[in-house]
Amino acid sequence: MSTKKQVGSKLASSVRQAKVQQKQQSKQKSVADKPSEPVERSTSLITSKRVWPD
Amino acid sequence: MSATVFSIASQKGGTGKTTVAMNFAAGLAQRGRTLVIDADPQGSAGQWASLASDEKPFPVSVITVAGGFSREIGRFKRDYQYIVIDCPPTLETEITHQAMAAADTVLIPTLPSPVDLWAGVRLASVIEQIKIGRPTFRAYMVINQLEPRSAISRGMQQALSEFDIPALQGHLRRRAIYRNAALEGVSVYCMGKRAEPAAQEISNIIEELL
Repeated sequence: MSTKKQVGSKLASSVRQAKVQQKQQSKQKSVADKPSEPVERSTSLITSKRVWPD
Repeated sequence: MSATVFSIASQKGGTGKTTVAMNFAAGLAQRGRTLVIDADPQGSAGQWASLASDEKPFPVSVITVAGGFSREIGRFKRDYQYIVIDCPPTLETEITHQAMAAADTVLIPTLPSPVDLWAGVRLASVIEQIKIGRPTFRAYMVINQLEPRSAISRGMQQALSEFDIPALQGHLRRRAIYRNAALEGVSVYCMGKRAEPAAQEISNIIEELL
């Protein structure tokens, strides 16, 4: 294989790798940007019940 | 009149974006009234034109636009046949996205280097989004600073075939005359006989696009 082809193949392969990486990053970003599930919040100041011993 | 808008974009600095923008604009000016919009905060296009002498002014008006991009473009489109936008060298600013969205054609100068090719991957994915719903929108990679004897330069065509964005047949070789033209505030069209090969490279790109 000539040097030109070797370098061309290597460059092309590095671009393919960069594209895969880019896709993974976009996927991770879209997951990070996704709003989290709504959390049920208590409106009361009392968050736990205290049970007094009898 | 409604101008054809070309945006010269790049995901990283040092790709010769302004060199392409200014010489390309000078070539277009031979065909119709042309304006350069310097949207790069570094202001290199404005600096370039400011170095021109009064006897030999740069053949194209250069203006700087920072905000209200879409509105400004609309205003200038009526007065010019061609508008060339020198974009900021990053995708992390809204101006770059607006400038590419305002363009009929985006040109992406790319050096024959792996790092430049990798940087082009993200830009290409953004351009794919802009293309949606715009059948006449075009984008091309332009090889800049090509060194025909270097193995990497010769391997570029194979590497560029991995992109969804096509590469222009026309390219710019690595030539000192491009840097000398910037220093004198002119385009390669005004640098005499020694710049003829460079001027021909720019004309080839223009003919390929128009």
